[in-house]
This record gives sequence, structure tokens and C-alpha cells, in this order.
Amino acid sequence: MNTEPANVFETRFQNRLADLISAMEQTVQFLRQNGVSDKVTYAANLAIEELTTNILKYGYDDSAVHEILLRAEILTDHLLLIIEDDGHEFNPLLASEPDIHLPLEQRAVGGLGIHLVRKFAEEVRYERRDCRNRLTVVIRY
Amino acid sequence: MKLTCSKSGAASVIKVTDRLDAQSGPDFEKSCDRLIQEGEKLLVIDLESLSYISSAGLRSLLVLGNRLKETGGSLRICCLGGIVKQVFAAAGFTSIFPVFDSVDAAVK
Repeated sequence: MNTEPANVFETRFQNRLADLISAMEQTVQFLRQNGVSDKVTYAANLAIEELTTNILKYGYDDSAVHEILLRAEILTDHLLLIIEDDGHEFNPLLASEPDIHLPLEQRAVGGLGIHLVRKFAEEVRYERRDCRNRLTVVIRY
Repeated sequence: MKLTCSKSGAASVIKVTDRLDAQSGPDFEKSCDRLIQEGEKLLVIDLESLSYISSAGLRSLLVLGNRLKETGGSLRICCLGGIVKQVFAAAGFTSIFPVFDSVDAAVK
């Protein structure tokens, strides 16, 4: 029996880009169907893509299949996103901020994704609990 | 993502529709790279119909911009709007590429 309230969407997907894209599309569709604004939906999309592609790239020490949990909760005055994985301890928030004032040829792209997530979300938190990484993103309406 | 390519004088205009993300970024990069290899020097990327760009999409633009610069060419952006424009500004990309309000202004 599904006991989830209507304003919560949760999915589990495998650590493959195609599955990640599909989970992201389902979440975006859920937000749109529930009347979440374009700007908040964009910020959520960005947070999901940047944080989960980071997990795929840097989170695992083996080539096994792993499961990533993605949860979106539409609350009264903000949207809450939770992303959980069972990779090694990895806090993407420790990445150094990119210098966004350098000219084209000196630009590095590392850290740009996290920089954007921080710009468009009110808060991003990282916790390591029970051998799992948990990222919580708060996006204010 | 959908790409529509056209010629306008010396410029190749590439209109990008829908999304430029981790999935479509590599395809976009490959298509534009082919034009650079064919000798195109001026690429105008029309983003009027782009609804979403992530760091993966921005990374593709950065790679292409640098590749063009090496060959003496350049990459121009036009028709930025909405949240995509805000993402460009937040990433500092409006200062590394010439940005124009219209295709006509960008191809001159």
C-alpha cells in the first residue's frame, strides 16, 4: 500500500547516466504536475543533475551496480530534495569554488556544477550516516 | 535537444532547442566540433529556444570556445533569456563569450 502523501515523490535508480536522466525527468514532471514554478523546477533539476552526476563520476571505488535514492518533498514554503548513495565518503561541498572571472583559455570547469547548485538553492547540506552519503537541498519558493 | 544549423555570411548559426545537459552536451559538442574541423571559424550559438542548461552544457561551450580560439576563430552566444541567462551570469560565462541580443547582431 502506498502511504506517501501526494506531495512527495521518491525513486531509486541505478548508477548509470540513462537511469539518472530518467529519474530526473520523472521528478521534473512531478514538480510541474504539482504547480511548482519554473524557476524552482529549474533549480531542482540543476541540483539533481549536478549532484547525481558527481556521485556517478566520483562516488564509487568499484564498477558494481549501486542504487541512488532521490526524494522530492513539496512543502509549504520550500522544496526539499534528498539524495542518498552508498558510495565512499564524498562531500561535494568541499570542492573549491571556481574563479568565474578568469578569461576563456584559463577557465577550469571543475566545481562549476556545485557553484551553480549553491547559487540557485537556499541551502545544501551533506551528512555521512550509516555508511551512506546524504545530500539535502532546500529551494525556497 | 534539437540542433538547427544554417549559414549566415561567414558565420555558422546553430540554434539549440530544449536542453543542454549531461545527456545532450556530448552530442552538441560533437556536432559543433565537426563544423570546426570542416573549417568554420565563427560559430553563433542561438539559445533563444533553450529551456535548460547545466554545468555539462556550459562545459561543452567552454571546450568549443577554446578549440575555436586555437584555430583563430570565435564562438558567440545570442538570444539568451529567462533562467538560462541567469545561469550564464552565475557561471561568469557572459564575460568569457561575446553575447548578442539577436542572430543578426551576432553574425555581423
